[in-house]
Amino acid sequence: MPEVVLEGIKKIYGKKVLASSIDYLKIEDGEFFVLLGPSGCGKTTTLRIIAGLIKPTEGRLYVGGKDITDLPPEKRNITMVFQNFALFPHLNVFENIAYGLKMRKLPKDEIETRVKDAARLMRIDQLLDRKIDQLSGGQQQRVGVARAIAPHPDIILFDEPLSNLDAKLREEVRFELKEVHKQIGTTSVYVTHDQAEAMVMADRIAVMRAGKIVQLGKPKEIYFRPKNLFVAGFIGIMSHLPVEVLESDGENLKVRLETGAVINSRGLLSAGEKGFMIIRPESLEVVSKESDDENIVKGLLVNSIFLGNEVEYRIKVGNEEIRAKLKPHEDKYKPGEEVNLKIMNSWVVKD
Amino acid sequence: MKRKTWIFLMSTLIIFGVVFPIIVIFFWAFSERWYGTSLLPSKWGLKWFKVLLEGGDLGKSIYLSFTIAPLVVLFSALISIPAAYVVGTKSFKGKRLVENLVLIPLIVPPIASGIGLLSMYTNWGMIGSYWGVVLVHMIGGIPYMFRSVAAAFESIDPALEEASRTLGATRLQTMLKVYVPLVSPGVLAGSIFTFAWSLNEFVLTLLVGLPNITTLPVQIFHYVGGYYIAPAPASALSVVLIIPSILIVLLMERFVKIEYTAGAGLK
Repeated sequence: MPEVVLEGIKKIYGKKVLASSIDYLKIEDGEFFVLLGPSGCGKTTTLRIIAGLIKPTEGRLYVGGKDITDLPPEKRNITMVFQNFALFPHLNVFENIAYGLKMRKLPKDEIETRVKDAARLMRIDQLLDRKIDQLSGGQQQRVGVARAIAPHPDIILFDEPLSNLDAKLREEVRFELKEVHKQIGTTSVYVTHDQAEAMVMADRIAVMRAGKIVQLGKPKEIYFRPKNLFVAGFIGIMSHLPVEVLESDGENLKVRLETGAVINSRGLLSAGEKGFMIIRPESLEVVSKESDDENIVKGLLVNSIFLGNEVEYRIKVGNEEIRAKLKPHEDKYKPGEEVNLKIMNSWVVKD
Repeated sequence: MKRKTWIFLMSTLIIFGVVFPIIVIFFWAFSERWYGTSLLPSKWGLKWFKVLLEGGDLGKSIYLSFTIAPLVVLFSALISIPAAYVVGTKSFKGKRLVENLVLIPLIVPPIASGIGLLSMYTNWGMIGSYWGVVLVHMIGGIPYMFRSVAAAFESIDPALEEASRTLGATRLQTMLKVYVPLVSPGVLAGSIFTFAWSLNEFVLTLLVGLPNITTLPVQIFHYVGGYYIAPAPASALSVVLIIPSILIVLLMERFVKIEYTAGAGLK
């Protein structure tokens, strides 16, 4: 199965609206690649360019080394799973899954085998005779995925496939899709604005903004080493404090907060530079006032919110408010109290 | 008042205004003798149908009505379907204008536009021509056809075309495998409405079709609107006109989803 290469791809609407602009992107053979970003960031446009549904204004697109920029969608062997399912309402489940196989003029028994295989994989083999409007949303999207798998495409594209499902179902199907990908190994490009979805499924994530890829990397890398505040804020919950870098040794930094506290952190800045320290809520600990540990910041507990399995603290440090998550048994403080925070893990970015 | 009362009132009106007259027409048509004083005809028979057949007008009127209507359906469909595709699936400047323009023939009284057409047709020498009547019927028929088909196209999710293409279907295959099956109920509904419209059209046909093109409604009018009033032969002729209409209603009930018929009417 081939890899996908986007080279200098640009899509411009009208005179100046830049919908997508990607200098170079290589999606590896068999990879589960996620394009993540807020709505209007160009992720869907990029996906549609790969599908052939949108012609790029500039640039070339290669699959397996072959230039497919000018091929119409039907000649690309790239299938797609849609946000609103896009199942054919006049066909039943079997006929929907068989659609791509019939277009490839496969023999009848081959079509039957492949439809049944795809249906079994998506656990809808009991529903093959059903009409589309007799299915639940979750079942419909399973049909949508089976229909995309059955023709054995080079690439499967997913356009926010779970966003029309309710939260609980979304979580369930998320894992299922990941499992299916492990089994069939087809190169997949998945578009979503849901960072949790991206984390669970992606081999690699490209975070997009205003048509461009801001950061590309493995989920852990993007979570722990975000390139800027935008990426950090988009992936997970974070708080940030303005800092000045005092010393820099490789990635190890010594920074000073506006309150004067000096903290050991990590980042790619050099001494003298100003930036922001990103703190994830789970990397904070409230410690006793007598503690003489390093990396301690003083703050004022503004609010505490009980969430069941954890407690969220809002703590004012200098002029900023930061969020910390604690286990319920650690919840010994009252709003209005001064607390000592230990920053166990942090990352400094420039902007 | 309870909600049911309104439904009752509405149904009563329809029965009183439509169903009763139809019964009366059937009585007249199949009566050979009926005095105003009695409730039912005193002698039943097919006399008036024989009169119509012997008169020779009936055959001609049936021929005209039932060839003009299918032609009107055919030509309206040929023009409306591509137009409905564009309006139903694309967005463009002036789309609302087109949608409203198509409604004009339904709103302007035919007697008004008919008078204008009469003088235009006279200038062009098209008075009393068969194709002239077909054209006039198309003007009235196209809104019905267009609205039904456009509603059918509108109800198709645009992602279906994309799904079809990514699954390996060409543009033409997508047309045949996705659009045709999904739009055909709308075309059928539109055809039925257009057919019924053409069959029943009276004012415009009378104005531009005379003296040659005497479709069924025009012929019926001759019996009641001439020098003397002859309800019996007119009723017999009406029966000939009503029967296909009843068949059409039954056909619709059986085959056409209600949303497409809504599209044809005043949505």
